[in-house]
Amino acid sequence: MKNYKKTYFLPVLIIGISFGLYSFSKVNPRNYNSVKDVDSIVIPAEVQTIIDNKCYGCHNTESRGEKSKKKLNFDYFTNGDYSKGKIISKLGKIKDELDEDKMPPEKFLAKYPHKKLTAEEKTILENWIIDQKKVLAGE
Amino acid sequence: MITVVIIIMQLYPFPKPEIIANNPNDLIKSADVPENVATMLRLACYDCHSNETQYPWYSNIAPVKWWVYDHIVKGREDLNFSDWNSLSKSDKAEFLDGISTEVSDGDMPLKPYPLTHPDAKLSDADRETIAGWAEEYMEKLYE
Repeated sequence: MKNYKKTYFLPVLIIGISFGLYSFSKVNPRNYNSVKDVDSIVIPAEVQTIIDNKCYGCHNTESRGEKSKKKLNFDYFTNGDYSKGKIISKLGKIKDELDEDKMPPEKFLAKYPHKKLTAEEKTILENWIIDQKKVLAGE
Repeated sequence: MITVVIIIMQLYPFPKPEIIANNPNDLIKSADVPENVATMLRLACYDCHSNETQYPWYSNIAPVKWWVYDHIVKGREDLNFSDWNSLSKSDKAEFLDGISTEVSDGDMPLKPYPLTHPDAKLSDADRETIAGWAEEYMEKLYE
């Protein structure tokens, strides 16, 4: 009996932890509505993936960080809580933060280095913002 | 001795941010700002965020003036209501969002300002009014 415990305890623990980590990394997965009309924001799949992996963890309605979700809540982009003006403003702010490498914050990255945006991801987000700001503003 | 130091301080050149009275692009002049909001903006924001700064006497005496002038230069650089109508729509939206957040969070006006300008002290209700106006204006921009 003792032997049985020894043999199985470790693998079971490892599998358990892996499941825990997996579900943790998938906090609040969500599907963005794709476009219906020019009035709503378009979030292409590749942009959505970056947001989900690198930003959404803090910037969503269920987030524990009051400050982060107050400043930017991606749920509000698609559920109608942000007006068009607000969305345009938030896009501009996101771009400023990206340009200055302020997001994700350094402190957070020290703990979760894999959350850092790659140069390619930054370019994708920035191009998306420039495009969407123009489309939404009708410029 | 102290007198001498203070007198020398006055001689140190430090340009005073200019007062410009006529600003055709001014927010209150060019946009439809409700009276109560306009009054609050004038009292609580315009000293640093417009060309219509009202300098109290002590603000022109060094060393106070170095500190005050510097704040006004930076305030106007960040957001100048006197130039409001020259901004693009999306810049306006960004500033309105910033105003809404900073005023409701109590980050603006800067903490020391109402100490010497009691009229600039905003109550929670005042802050809500300003933030509500900013949000509404932001929506109207793209209607």
